[in-house]
Amino acid sequence: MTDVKTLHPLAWWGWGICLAIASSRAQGVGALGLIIIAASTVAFSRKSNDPWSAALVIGIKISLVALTLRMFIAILFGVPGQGKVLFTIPRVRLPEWMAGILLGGDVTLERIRFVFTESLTIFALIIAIAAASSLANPKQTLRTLPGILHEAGVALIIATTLIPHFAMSVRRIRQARTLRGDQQRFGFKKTLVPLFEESLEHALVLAESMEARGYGRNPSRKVSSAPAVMLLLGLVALLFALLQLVIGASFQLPLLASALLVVSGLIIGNKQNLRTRYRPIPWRRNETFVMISSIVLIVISGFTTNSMVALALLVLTLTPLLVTSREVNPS
Amino acid sequence: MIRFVNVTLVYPYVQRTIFENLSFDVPEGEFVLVMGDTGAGKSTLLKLMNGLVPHHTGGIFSGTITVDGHDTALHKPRDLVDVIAIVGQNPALGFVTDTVEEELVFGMESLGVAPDVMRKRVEDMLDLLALAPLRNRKLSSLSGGEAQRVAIASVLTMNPKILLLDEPTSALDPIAAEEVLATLSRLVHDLGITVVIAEHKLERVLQFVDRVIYVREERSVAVGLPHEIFKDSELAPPIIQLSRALSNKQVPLTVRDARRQLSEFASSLRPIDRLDTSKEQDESAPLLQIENLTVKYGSKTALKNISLTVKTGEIVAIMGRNGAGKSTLLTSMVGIREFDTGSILVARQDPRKLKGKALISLVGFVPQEASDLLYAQSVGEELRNSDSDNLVASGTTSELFAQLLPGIDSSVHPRDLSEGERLSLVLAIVLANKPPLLVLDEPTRGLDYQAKKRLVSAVRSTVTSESAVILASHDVELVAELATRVVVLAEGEVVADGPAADILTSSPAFAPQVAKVLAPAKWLTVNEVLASLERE
Repeated sequence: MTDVKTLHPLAWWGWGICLAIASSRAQGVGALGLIIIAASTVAFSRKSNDPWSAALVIGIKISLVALTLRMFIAILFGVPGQGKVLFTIPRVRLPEWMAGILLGGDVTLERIRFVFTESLTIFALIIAIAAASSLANPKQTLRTLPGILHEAGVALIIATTLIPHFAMSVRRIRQARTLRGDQQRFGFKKTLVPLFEESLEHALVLAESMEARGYGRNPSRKVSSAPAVMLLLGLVALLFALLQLVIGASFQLPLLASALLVVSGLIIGNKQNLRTRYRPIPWRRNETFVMISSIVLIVISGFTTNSMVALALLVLTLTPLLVTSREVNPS
Repeated sequence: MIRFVNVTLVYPYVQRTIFENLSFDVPEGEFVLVMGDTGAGKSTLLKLMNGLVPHHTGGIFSGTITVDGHDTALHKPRDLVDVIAIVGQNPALGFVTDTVEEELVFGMESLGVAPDVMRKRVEDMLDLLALAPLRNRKLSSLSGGEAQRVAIASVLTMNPKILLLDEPTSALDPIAAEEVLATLSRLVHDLGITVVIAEHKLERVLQFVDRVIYVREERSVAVGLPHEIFKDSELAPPIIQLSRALSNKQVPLTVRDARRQLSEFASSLRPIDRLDTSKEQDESAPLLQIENLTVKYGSKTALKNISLTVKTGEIVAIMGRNGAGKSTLLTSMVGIREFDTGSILVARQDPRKLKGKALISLVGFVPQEASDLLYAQSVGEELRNSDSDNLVASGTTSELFAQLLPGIDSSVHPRDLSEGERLSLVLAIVLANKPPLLVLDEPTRGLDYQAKKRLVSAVRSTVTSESAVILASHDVELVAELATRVVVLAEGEVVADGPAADILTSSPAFAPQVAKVLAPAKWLTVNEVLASLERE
C-alpha cells in the first residue's frame, strides 16, 4: 500500500481548489481549454478503480450537459445587442404575460463567444472539483480531518455506504418476491416496507456496535462544549458573510472574523480531543511541490493568454503527474 | 468480575417481566456459557452486562450490575469499552470501516491509545487470531468465520477484561466454529480474559465451558457448574441425552468423558442394521437432475461441473465450508440465479423459465434469511396473503401453520416472532403449495433444540413418495437426524456423495457426537441407539 505513489488527499484537494480558482480568473477560451484538458489528463491517468473515481466521469457528463443547455438557451432566447449577426431565428410571438422575454431573433458572434466563455469557466470549475474528488480517497480524507470533526465525518461516511446497501437489499427482497410467486416487479408495500424495516434494523445494530466500540467517547473527562459552540457560530457567521459577498455587499471584516472563529474553535477543540491516529498519512516534499506550483498557477492564470502563459498553465496543471505514479489496486 | 444484585428488567408497554430479582456472580478468568430457549432473553442478558440494555434500548431497570467494580448504571457502554466488550450476533452488520486493519484500530483511536502501542497491539491481535494474511482485505470480502474473528480482534485491541459474544458460531461451519471457540478458550487460558458466550449449539461449546448461566422460560435463571446444571436441564447436547437415557449417573461434558463412561455399553451394543433403502430408491423417479453445472462470479468460479440427481423420497443434505458454493447451488436449482453452462431440470422443467405460481408449485425455497419472504404487518395478514399468492383455498396456510406451531397470536408482527417461530411461518407459506421439491438454506440458525425437533418432524412429514427435500446446513446433529444422503461440496466441487451414515462417520469434522462416542460403529443419533435397544 505504501509503495503506491499517490498524493496526500488534502494535496489533491488543494490542487483541485487551486485549479478552480485559476479557471475563474483565467482569460479566454484557450486558457480554460488548456486547464480542462490538463486536469482531465491527470485525473484519468492517476485515478484508481475504486468507486469514488467514478466522480470524474459523472463530473464531465454534468458539465457537458450544462454547457449544451446553456448554449442552446443563449441561441434560443435573443438578447438585443450590438455585433456581427451570424444568423437569425424567426421571432416567436409570446402571450402578453410573458412580455420582456424574447424568443428567437438575431444571434450575434459576440453573444455566442461571451456565453461560451462563461459556460466553459463553469465547465472547468466542475472538472477541477471532480478531478480532486476522484483522486482523493474519501476515507483517507476523513482521516486527515481534525479530531474534533472526526465523529461527524464517520457518520457521513456511513451515510454514503447506504446506497449500495439499499441496492443489495432490494435485490434480495425482489428474489424473495419471486419465491412467493409474485410477478409484480415493484410494489410500495412489498418492496419498500421490508426495505425500510431491514434498514432500520441494520442501523440499530450498527449503532449498538459503534456504541460498544467507544464511538462518541471522549477519553478526557473534562470536556467543555465551548469549542463546539465556537465552531457552529463561526460556521453560521461565515455562511452569512459569504451570502453578503454574493449579493455584492462588501463584508470583508465579518468574513475574516468568522473564519477566525472557526479556526480557533478547531484548534481549541483539537487540544481537548485526545483521539490518536493510527499510521497518519505523511505530508512529503512531493505534496509541498504540488501545492506551490498550484499557487503559482493561480497567479499566472490572471495574465492575458500568450503562448508562454499557455505553456506555463499546462505544465503547472500537470505537475502531479511528475510526482505520482499510476495507482495499482491491491486486490 | 460481573456481579448482578437484584436485577429486574421490564420493557414499557409489555406485560411480562424480562428478568426478576436476578443475582449472581461471575468470577474472573472463566469461560461462561449462557444458554436457554430462543427468545428466553440470552441476548438481553449479555447486553445488560455491558449496559447496552437499558442505555441503548430503553426499559425499566432496577438493581445493580457491576463489572470489574464499575456500576453500569453510572457508565455508558462507550465509557466501559476497555473493561467489557461485546461482539454481536451478525458481526458483518456492525463493521464501521472497510478494511481489516482499519477495523482493528477504530476502537483504539477513540480511546486515545498512543500510535506505537496501537501498532504493536494490531500486530499482536493479527497473530493471536491468525488474521495476518487478511490485514489489507476488504471487510465485505471476508467469509463468515473470518468476519467473526475480525470482530473479536477489533474489540480485543481495546484490551477489555471481559468479552461477551452472542452466538458466535451460529453461521459458521463446524471447522470454522471449532477455530473460533479454540481461540476464545486460549484467551481465557493465556490472557485471563473472562469470556461470556450465548450459544444454542451446546455440543460445540460445552467442552470449553467453566460455568453455565441457564435462562429458563419462566424467567428464572440458574447459575452453576456444568455438571450441576446438566444433571437435569431440559436443554442438553446429544452425549448428555444419551448418557441420561442409559441412566448413567455421571454427566459427560466432552466426547472423551462419554467414551470412557460408556465404553462398556459401546462394546455390548449390537452392530447397527439400517434398512437398505437404496433398492427402493432405484425404482423411484428422479426429481431433480443437474448436469455439468458451472456458475461464475466474474473471474471466480463458484461451482465447477456439478452433476447431481435427486430422487423422490430422499432428504439430501449439502454440507461444506462457508463459501464452498452451497447457497449458489441451492439458488440455482430454484431458478433465481443465472448460470453459465450446464442444465438443471426439476421434474423435467427448467426452473429459470417458470414464473409465479408455476415456479412455486414446483419448488419451495426457504432462504437463509427466512424473514425476507415476509412483508405483511401481522401474522394473520401474512397467512391470508399466502393463500391468495398461492391460489389455494383460504385458511390452508393458517391450518398448516397451526400444525407446525400452535398457539401463535395472529395479530403479532412477524418481526416480533422469535427466529424459530418465523421459520415455521415461512415454512407454512412455502409448503402451502405442496411443492414436490423443498429446498432449505441453513434452516437452523438460531434455533434451540425444541424448535429443531419441530423442524425435523415438519420436514419428515412433507417427504412423500412424490417429493424430496434438499437442505444446506452446518449443523451436523440436524443432518444426522434428518438426512438420508449427504453431499459434501468443497471449492465448488462435489467431493463426497453417499448415504448419510457413511459420509458423516467418515470425517471427524462432520461426525455427530453420538458417532464419535460409539465409533467405529456407525450410530448417528440418540434416537437410533434407543430404538435399537428397545427392539432387543
